[in-house]
Amino acid sequence: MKVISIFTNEQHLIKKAVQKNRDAQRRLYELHAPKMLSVCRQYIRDRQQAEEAMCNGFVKMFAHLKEYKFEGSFEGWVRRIMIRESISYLRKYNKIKFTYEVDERIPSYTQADSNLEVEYIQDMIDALPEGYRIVFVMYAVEGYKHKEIADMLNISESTSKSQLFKARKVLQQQLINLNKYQNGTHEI
Amino acid sequence: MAPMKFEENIKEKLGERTLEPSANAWETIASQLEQQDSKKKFNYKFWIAIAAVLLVGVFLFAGLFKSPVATPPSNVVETESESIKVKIKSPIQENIDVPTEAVVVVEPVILEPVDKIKAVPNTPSKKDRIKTEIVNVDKATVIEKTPNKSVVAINNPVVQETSETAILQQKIQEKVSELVAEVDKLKADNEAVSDAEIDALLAKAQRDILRDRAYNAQTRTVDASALLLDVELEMERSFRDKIFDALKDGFTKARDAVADRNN
Repeated sequence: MKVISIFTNEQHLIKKAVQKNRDAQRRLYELHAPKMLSVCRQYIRDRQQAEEAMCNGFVKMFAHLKEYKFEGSFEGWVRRIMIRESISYLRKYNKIKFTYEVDERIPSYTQADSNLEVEYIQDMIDALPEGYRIVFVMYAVEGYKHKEIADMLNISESTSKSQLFKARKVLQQQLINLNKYQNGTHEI
Repeated sequence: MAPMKFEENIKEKLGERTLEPSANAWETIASQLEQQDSKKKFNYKFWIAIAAVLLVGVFLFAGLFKSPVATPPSNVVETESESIKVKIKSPIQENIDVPTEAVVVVEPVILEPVDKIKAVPNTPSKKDRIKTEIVNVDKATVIEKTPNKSVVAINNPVVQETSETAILQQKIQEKVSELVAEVDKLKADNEAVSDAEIDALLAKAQRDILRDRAYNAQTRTVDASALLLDVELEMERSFRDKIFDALKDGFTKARDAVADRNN
């Protein structure tokens, strides 16, 4: 019953927000802002800049809200808007560099790597170069395919694959360094 | 599958993570939304204002290029009206040529037909002048019967031979005879017959004729238009007299001036 009531409430809120009801818009913002800020934060290192991108994303979301046809998850629809806005923000204020070396070998992580805290994971992702980070997050976290990534970033599929491989290599190295620091060795 | 487990772990933990935005984040969003809404409203009003200015400009442009109404000549008026009111009285002039075309009234204004009177070498007697005027009455009255154009040349009057016209003609002839007899009587009495007296006799005869036309003894009906004409004639007599007197004086002065110049 709670799930149904929430869904009904969200539908009602969306319809009101389409009519430019400011209270409904604020309520939608309060429901989804925390997660959307986390999404933007995955792409943008600086928290304030991530918040700025999130605000821009919400403004665009409300402007195009009438295009949402209640097909699929509303959160997923908003999430895609936030990802595009984050990438646009990075393109506007940073130069995103992509290398074109192709290497599809998957680096080897260890069992212990799966127990890392989210903050450290974020720190590891922040340490990646812009191009690597974006492709890695879009592929590994958001679940986009290389073709979709290539279309959104206006790059080739091979570049997308290359970027992902390099991101994994860097992460692997970081994990090795972490294990060495924690356990004195990179082997378990 | 360690590599996949690591990345699944990342996906799971980052997917569940939430970060609380700052307190003024919503204010920033709300202000941007307000700006968007006001921009749309401004454009709407702006384009409505432009459309209104264009409409006013089109109306002004059309008004400026509207052609002015041409005033018709005042001396000749043609009318399609059936009920033409015709005044009988015409200025009595001597040795004067008057335009051939008759000036006829346009409803409801009553105008006087100006008939052509050929210049006669001798001063016409008053009897002759009366006859001439009665003939004008006759012709003008006949004109009233024609439904179309009332511009008539005296030399070629339009006469519709109807029984009603014949009766009217007969009545007019009777009146003419009466008038002539009356003038003769006045002359026999050695009384000077002035123009005013002749005019009065003519007016009386005109009223009688019109009264006869108005009332139909056979059907015991009264013609409303004839009655109206009678009343209008009486009402406008004074104004008409003034106009004619003024015209008469002006014409006399002009004639004298021309005569003096020639001499």
